[in-house]
Amino acid sequence: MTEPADPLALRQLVAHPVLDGAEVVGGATGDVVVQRVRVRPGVDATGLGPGDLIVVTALGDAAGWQVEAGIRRCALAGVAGLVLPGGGRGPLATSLLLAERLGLPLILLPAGASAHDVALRLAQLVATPEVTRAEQVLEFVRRMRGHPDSLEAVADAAAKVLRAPVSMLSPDGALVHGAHSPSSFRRDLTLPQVVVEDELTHVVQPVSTTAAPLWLTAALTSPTPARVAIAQAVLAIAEPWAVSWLATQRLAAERDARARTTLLADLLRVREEAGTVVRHRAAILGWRLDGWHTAVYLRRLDDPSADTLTDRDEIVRLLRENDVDGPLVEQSDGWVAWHTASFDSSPQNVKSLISSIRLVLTRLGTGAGIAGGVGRTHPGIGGLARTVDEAREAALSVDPAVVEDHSLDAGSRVVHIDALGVGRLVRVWTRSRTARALATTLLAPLAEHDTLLSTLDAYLEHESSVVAASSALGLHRNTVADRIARAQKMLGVNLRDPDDRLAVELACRTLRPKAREPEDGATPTTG
Amino acid sequence: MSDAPAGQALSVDDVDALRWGASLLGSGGGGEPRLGALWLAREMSGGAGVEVVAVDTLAEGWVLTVAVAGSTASVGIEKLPAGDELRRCVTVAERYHGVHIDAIGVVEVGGSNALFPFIAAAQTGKPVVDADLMGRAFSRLDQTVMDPGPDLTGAWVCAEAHGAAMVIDGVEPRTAERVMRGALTGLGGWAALAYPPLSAETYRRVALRGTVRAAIGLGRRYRAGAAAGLDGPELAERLGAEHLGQGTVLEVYRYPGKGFGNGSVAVRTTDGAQVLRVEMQNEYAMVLRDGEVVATTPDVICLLDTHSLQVIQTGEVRRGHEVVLLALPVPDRLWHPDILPRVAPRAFGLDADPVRRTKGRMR
Repeated sequence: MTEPADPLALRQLVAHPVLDGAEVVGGATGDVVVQRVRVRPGVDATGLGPGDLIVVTALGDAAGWQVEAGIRRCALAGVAGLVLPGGGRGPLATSLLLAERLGLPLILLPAGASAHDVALRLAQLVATPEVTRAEQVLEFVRRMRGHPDSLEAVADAAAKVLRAPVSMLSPDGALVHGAHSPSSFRRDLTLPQVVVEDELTHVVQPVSTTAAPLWLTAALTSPTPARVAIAQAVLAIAEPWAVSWLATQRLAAERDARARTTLLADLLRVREEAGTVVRHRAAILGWRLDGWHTAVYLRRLDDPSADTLTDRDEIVRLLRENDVDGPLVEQSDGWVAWHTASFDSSPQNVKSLISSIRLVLTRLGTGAGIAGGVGRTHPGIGGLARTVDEAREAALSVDPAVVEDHSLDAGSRVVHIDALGVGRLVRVWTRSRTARALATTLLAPLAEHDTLLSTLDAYLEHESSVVAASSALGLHRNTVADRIARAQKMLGVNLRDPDDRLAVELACRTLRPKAREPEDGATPTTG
Repeated sequence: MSDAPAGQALSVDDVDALRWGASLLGSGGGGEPRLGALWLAREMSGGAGVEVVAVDTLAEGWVLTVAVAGSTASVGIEKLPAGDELRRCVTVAERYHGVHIDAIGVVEVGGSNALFPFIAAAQTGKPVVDADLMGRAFSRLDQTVMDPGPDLTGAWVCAEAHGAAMVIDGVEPRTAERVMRGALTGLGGWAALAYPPLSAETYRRVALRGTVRAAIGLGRRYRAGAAAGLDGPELAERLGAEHLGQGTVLEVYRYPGKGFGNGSVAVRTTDGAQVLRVEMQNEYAMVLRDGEVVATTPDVICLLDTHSLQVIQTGEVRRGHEVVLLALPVPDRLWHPDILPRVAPRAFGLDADPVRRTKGRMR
């Protein structure tokens, strides 16, 4: 079934690739509407009128007088235009003047173009745009046979089919390939769009892989509606190819990341006992195992589950720029990188490494939400494991509040393991996942008894003094003593035993922000 | 020479006027009559007189229509005549046919062939009939007012400068022309030619009366008009012609490989409001104004230089020429349905109906 075609302006047909190389002389094409394409052996307007575009197929010589007489008849009949076959010397000067004066657009095909073919193509454009569209889509599929070498190859194939420049835009709208992009479009809508800017019409197609899509865009010059529809169809067909290329790339990156992560985990596990297989794997990845290693741990605080692959290239680039040129290995909550040297590093080296990491974090921006930790320098495979552990510990010690506070400079987000004091060690311990798990298990019996838990915490905080605790809580000391006895009973511990006391105190500290919540600005109520 | 009809002697001034008239009636082709006029004037200055007799004075006897046939229009200038070709042509014809020729007939009163019969007459002492067979110049032997079948089938005689003569007997004009063109390439390019002789009665019946004197009159009016510096429309008025327009030649396109003198002349009118296009097929054969056919053969179409009013032949027209376009009337008989197919545009290979601009005009 043919859909009702929009009437085309002759100007739009002239701009179409079908008429590439054709010369437009005589009257202005303007907004003359073409509704039908008529094929005639000679310049003959018999029975034709407005809306008819005549394509002459069997003209011996456009210089002949019949052309001039025909131009007059066509103009009098009011036809939309006259397409003459090319070759020969073309119409005589008087014929061109006459066409110009009578306002009849005259289109001279280039030599060698088949007037029959042109007529067929024009008729398709005018009457059955869907046939033309289907042909272009097939042509694209033919060009794209097999897996594309690159995204550019997809864009270039579409450009060849559409005979118009096709560009690629990054998710933020910046040009990554090609030279044409609309000055603005709805990037928030992952939908095909058409943007008209002066004589250029941009057909925009999202290439969605993740939340932020890439964009394919074709820039058409004064296109017919049919041509816009063709561009939409071709770009829509191009999208899966682009997606497939992106997915392949992604798969390769995932595979590489997994190889790195498992190798590092193996190295940290086996340490000096690493056998030839592990050493061989390291050699394949280009990791140097001997020498002195200094690790850097970059920990994501914003969203530990976020994709560590997406930002990898950027981080690697920044680290390289700042002379940290060892491997970068993805971890569940971030990345670990290290630097290997032939000698133990001097304090000066450590200082410069720390400032490099600060610079990297600054460059990544305050919004990145990344904390950095730096380990000491240790030799060999065992040393690598140690420095990685130290760097992770240092990174864990960074208070998330510091990272979230964008007013603070990036310097406070990088910590060297040597800077960790005893208090920080406790804080590090209480923040660790292990500690949280232990504390939750230990204090589970009190989970439903907030008052008992807060009283217990206050009691331990005040050196196991019922008096001090009761005055701090504003309760009678008998109440406090009673609660402590109940808590001990429920937990099954004896707080006079130093081991039990230490365990319970650490557990209380670990859960404190939660446990202490009701106490803020209010007197706890008895249960 | 039995009872020679009495006529009027041709004056030297008549010769000059005939030259200009024939030039106009050449319709851009037919050859330049200047050489023939000089030759005739020389014959006359030697004492030879030429009488022009009215067609009605022909009682009986034979009329031999004489012309010069060449492979191209310009070959008569490139190869000079020996001087006695025309006389020998008449002599050979008389001998071959075994008749006495009483008068010389004119095939075409346009172009160079308007003058040659007078030279033959001057050399043989025979009178020239004031009537021709074409009323203007045409390029083919069969384009006359006579039925080429029965009337013009017979013996055609050629005589060329080095003394050769040739008789092609028993053929109609198209065949005679084809044979002659082939033979002329071996005979120096051109030769004097005599049509099969016509009886005085036939000639009187079919020939176009008074066209010789009319051509002389036309030439005289043209000469006076040119001398007076008339502009295009004024000259047309004086010649009884239609002024088709005037302007500048934008380009001349000569069709490749299609005979000689074929092409188109593109003209933009001086006021820029119209375009004129002249189609050439040996002669100027058709005029289009703004794509509309406005004048065709058999009317005579002339291109004159706007400033000098000189006739511009098809071979001479060039880009940049400023030209006046005129259509001159021809005798009504050429528009007769029996004759028209031989002289209308289609006879020239132009697929268009004849358009008569000059109906009712007299020249």
